[in-house]
Amino acid sequence: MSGNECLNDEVCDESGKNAFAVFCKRCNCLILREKQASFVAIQIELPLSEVKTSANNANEQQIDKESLNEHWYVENIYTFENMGFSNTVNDTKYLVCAECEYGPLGLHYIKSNQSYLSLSRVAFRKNEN
Amino acid sequence: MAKTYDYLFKLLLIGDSGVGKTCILFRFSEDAFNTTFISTIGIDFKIRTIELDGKKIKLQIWDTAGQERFRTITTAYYRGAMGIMLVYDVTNEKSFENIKNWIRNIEEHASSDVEKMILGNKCDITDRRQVSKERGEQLAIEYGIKFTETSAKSSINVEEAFFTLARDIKIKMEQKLDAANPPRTGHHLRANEPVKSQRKWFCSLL
Repeated sequence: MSGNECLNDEVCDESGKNAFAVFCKRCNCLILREKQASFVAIQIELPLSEVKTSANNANEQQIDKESLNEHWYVENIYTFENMGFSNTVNDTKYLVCAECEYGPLGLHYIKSNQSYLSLSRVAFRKNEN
Repeated sequence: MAKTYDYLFKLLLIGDSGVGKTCILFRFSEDAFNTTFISTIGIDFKIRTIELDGKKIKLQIWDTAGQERFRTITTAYYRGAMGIMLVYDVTNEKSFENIKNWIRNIEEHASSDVEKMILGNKCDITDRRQVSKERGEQLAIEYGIKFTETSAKSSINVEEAFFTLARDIKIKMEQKLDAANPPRTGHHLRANEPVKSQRKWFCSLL
């Protein structure tokens, strides 16, 4: 598991899977049940949720991105409990909360069918169910 | 990895532009002041998980994303669809009349055994209503399709409608499986492994 060792004991179990269920930060919608995704440390650039409109030109939108390094890797889209997928941009789709549409929460690659859910864009807690 | 669900159903929302299909599935249109990165790109589909009679069901739901304006809804869009929500707007007579055209379109292009349901949306708007609930019910009876009025805006009956459609698909699928695998076939008893064999079967539909 070189490079993919879970750096965060608080969210990973002993096999590097998500120890807790994953929820939307904004509306609490259940995204993933526990132990369904694997931790990966790779660099992914993700746009910020809000779009800034340029002060000079209202039509000109500035998309700020941030670089994120910790993700939950999900092999199959049907592993998600609830998830929205954006229209395709360059062979990728952005992940978005299925309930409130907060996002992007991560990236989905069309060709490989793989999804990466960014840890900093979602919340964790024990699933009471 | 162990499979986390029992069934996967592909559902479509069909109907005229402006009847609120997008609001039934997607919400950002109501939040127009807050431009977000996602709302500029648009959403393709959603996956929702529901539980029905102890079975975990994944719903993969698409809307036509404006294609209906160009009358380009053809076989490709319907491929693999197991359920279709036919949506009209109770404040728009024309959208109601067009349900018949949409049904014809489905008969032409979709699988013949696709489950259908008619939704009269925007039922929260009383002062501009043009189509009575009775007329909706009558149309549904005429085609032998289930019907309900919904309000995506007030969250009335939307979730219930998806549960109803999903249940109908599930019943149909289980009947087919029973027919294909009768419990007493002598040397081919398969009663204890339904989930795995089903999975293969309905994946090929997608």
